[in-house]
Amino acid sequence: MTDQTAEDSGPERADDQFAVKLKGNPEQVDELLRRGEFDIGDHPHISDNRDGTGWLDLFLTSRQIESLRAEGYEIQVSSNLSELARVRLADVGDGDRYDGGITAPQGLGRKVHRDTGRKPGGPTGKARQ
Amino acid sequence: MTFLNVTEIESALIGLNNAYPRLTQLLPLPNPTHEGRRSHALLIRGNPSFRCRPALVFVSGVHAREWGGPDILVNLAADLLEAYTANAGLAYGAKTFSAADVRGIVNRTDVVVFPDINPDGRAYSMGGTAGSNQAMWRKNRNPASGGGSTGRAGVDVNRNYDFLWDFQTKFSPSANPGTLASADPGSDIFHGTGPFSEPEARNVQWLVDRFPKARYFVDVHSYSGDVLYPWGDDENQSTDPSKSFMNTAWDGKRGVSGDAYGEYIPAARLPEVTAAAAVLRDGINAVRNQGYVSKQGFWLWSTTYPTSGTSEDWAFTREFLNPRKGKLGGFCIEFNRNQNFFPSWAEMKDMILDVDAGLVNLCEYATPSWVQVILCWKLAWWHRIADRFLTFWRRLFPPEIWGPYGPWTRIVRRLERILERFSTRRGG
Repeated sequence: MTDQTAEDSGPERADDQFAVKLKGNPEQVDELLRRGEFDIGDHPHISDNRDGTGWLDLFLTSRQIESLRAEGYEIQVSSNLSELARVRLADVGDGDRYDGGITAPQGLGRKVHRDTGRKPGGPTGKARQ
Repeated sequence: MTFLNVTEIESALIGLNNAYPRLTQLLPLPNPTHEGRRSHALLIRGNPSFRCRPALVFVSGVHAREWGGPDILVNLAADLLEAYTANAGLAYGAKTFSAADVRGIVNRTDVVVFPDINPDGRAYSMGGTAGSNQAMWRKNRNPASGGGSTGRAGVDVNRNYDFLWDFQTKFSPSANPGTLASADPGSDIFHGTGPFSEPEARNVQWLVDRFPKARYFVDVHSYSGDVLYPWGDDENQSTDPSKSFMNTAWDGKRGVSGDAYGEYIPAARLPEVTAAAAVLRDGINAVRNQGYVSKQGFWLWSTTYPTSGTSEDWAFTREFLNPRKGKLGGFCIEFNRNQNFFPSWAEMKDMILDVDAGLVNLCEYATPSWVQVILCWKLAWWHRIADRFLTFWRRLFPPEIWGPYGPWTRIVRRLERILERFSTRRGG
């Protein structure tokens, strides 16, 4: 189904949802949103083509894509998001890297000393209080 | 390292509280979730003796599949605490904050993070077995609303707040039903069985109510690269205060652009709200110029995206419903410019830096200046003096010996008697 194969894409399921971009004018976009049958993400993104049309982001199953294409909509499929999520799930641990609170997390922001600009380094912990 | 699971989010907050006991308080949220999970928020407060501090309340994780939100807020708390303790500044890509900025934030504001509003949903989204499709789950895991059907479980917590919750009554039949909310438990935007029916929404309500001096509320979502500000139900207008969510005379007429109704926002308040949204946006974009935009939540490109029962609108209602509590701006960040709820961890780390730069920028913006701090202390001093004088005065001259409005009462009675006599003579 994917036109542009995602690096992590794999076997498809019937209910897999694909990240797609659908071309439409404001009336068409409004009508599609009104149907309430498509996954529109959260506050969806639309890229303006500056010709009265835009590309609306949606998450559609294969069947929905075929159905909308049959209605005449132009759709670009970018990735199988369901499959990508299954790949990412492998990276989510079921343990506890902070040992119930014995260890504190460290922030990713760079800590900059005013005078030297050096990083303070070292783990956070009670010893630093 | 990758996305935090539900257990790790709680452990991270406890760990930060253990590591920085003088700078933090762990706030247990009162309402357990449908699956019995209990959540915490973390308060960062460096100087308990300073009473005039504004609070900033940051929440995330309401939509289960928007994985990175909790990681952003846990990281924010860790960064502020580490930098403060090391007397260091913070750098997020090209955006930097000095050590004085960090000290000001920690000492003169309350920063409250509630990273995981919806732990049941997150556990479900992250708990899929191989081949399942449950990572795309958005709602909470309330089993009752859908009559026990697994596919119809759950409520969209971000349609469950008490802001025009009863969308079928409050909005025009012409308003877009695909974005407003839904009364169908099978819908991804099912609004629940009543305003604040869900424990997750009640926890956010409890948290915000606990901080009467909260000035900014930010709900971190994904995706689209937007910073959204109120209102979400209709166009903003500043000319007619009667056109307000509080006025039932306008029920059935909201949610459509270009008609008679627009949601009232005072002319002086609108620039304050848009300025705060711009502070968030500019902080984010300063990191690596990702092109986030700030806009009113009601609009979507050339069409509309009306919503009911969302957190940022609900937060913003407080200053209208109870002006004595002061101004509270409600905002929503939609992090990630790409069409993806599940970025790689390498991508997510960059987005954590982006959004945390925006949030720290807002904290710095909200930090009272030293002039405000001195004025606040002076004001507090005068209040104490006035209180003592009043106590002394009341002890010396208790109200029962002179009576409320005693002299006035006598003057009014004399006047009444004169007027009565005059009126009787004319009438006779």
